[in-house]
This record gives sequence, structure tokens and C-alpha cells, in this order.
Amino acid sequence: MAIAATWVVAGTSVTSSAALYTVPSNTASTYSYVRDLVINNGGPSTLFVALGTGATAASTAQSMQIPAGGSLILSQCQVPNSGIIYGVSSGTSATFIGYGSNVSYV
Amino acid sequence: MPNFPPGTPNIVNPAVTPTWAFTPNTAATNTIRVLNTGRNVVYVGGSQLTQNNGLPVLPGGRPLELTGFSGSLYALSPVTGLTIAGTMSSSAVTVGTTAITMTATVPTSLAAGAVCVIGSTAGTGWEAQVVNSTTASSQITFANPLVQDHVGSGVIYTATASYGQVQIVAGVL
Repeated sequence: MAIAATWVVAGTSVTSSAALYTVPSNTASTYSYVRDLVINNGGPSTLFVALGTGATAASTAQSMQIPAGGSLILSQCQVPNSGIIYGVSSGTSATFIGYGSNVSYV
Repeated sequence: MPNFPPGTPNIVNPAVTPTWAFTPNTAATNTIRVLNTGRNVVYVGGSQLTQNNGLPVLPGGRPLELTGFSGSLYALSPVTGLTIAGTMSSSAVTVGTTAITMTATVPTSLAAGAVCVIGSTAGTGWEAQVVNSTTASSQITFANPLVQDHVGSGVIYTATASYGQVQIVAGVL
């Protein structure tokens, strides 16, 4: 998979729920964030992420599962302004957040 | 729960409670796409997701994409028009509970089949449920187990479901 995005390492071991990344704010409406976002789990443990408008933590039962090596791709306004991405994993994980104005993957 | 071979779409009209949406074929690493084909937001996540903590998939937007997905995906529809209907007893309830007791007689607006919200919306610990039955002793039984813990004396609202629709398509990279 090749992703044209700027990457940041957002967390390396989140065995307790923690904020991984805060989406930059925008003065427009809630869902007008114009950049795309990729959340990649470098493993080795499964990562669970939450990014709901009311989310305050991530949990293994409620949140979106990203297996080791997997990615969650949010494109074209799916990311709320100032939204906080929370993550939790059962063991060591490495979270990479990629963002750009037009993320595409092959 | 069936799982689908690559390329087989599954169209789901989720309830207001966690609704199984997709389990990819475990024989290979999967890429799945979740496209909102309805008019309302649909939330996706794990088996105990709520409207609070689910990942919103917006109508008319690009599909949400997951690479390397191997678990089960659940979805639910939003609720609107919340109106306070009563108060829970002082007893806390935990995940998996299927009934709660109110401090007064169950109002007619919470009859069987009604959509309701448990817990104050001032916080993030609320969830939507569907009433299965009620008793004269102020008890409400839900169609599905609670997916969150709730403190005693919490608020109960009546609500209206805004049903959505998502299409989930799996492929293999």
C-alpha cells in the first residue's frame, strides 16, 4: 500500500485508552475538515480507535478495530474538526496518523 | 453470522442498537469499504458501539475504508427528537442488563416497540434502546441488552429513530 500523506507517529503503546491525535480545528461547519486522514497500526497488537463526536475514550468492545498492519482511511469530510482520535490496544502497538489534502492509496 | 467472499456487498439498515453488519472472510486479509447509501448518518464500530462512540459514516460522502480488516463490524442508526419521559430508580445498571425500573409508572410513550434513550445526554454515557415490554411495577424490558453501564437515577428519554443504510463491500489486497 502506498499512501501520499504526511505521517506522524501518534502512539507506540496505548494499553490504556489515550488521545492519539487531535484534528486541527476549522472555522467552517463540523464536518468540513478538508483533509483526509489515515490511521495505520504498525502492530504487533490490534488497535481500537474511536473518533465519534461524543467519544471520550476507546475500548475493545465499542471502537473500530484495526489489526496489526491494517489502516483506517477517512476521506473527504469524514473527520470532524478538532476531533480527538482515541486509541487502545491489548499490548504494544505503533500508531501512525497520515494526513493530506487528497489521500489516495494503491 | 455469515461471512462473505471478496466483492460480495452487504446492505444493512441498522437498528438504533448495535446491528451486525459484516464479518470478512478470514481466509485472507481483507479491505472493506463502508458507503452510506441512505439519508442519515450511520455509526460503525464494535459490538457495543453507541451513537456516542461510533465512527460516523456520512450520507453522500466517500466510503470509509479499512485495510487489513479481520473482525466483525457493527452499525447503528441515529436517534432524534429526545423528550424526557422519566427517571430510573436509584439502582445502577450494568452492561448486559435487559431491564430497568423507573421511579414512577412507565408512561404510555414507552410502550413496547418505542425507541428510548437511557442516560443523560449531558454526558457521553447514553445509549438508545427499543422497549420490548413494560410492567405495572414500573419496569421496562429492552429488546437488546444494555451496552453501557449507567448510574442510578438517570434520565430516560423517548426518541425517534432516523434509520440509515450502509453498503459494505469487501475485497482482498
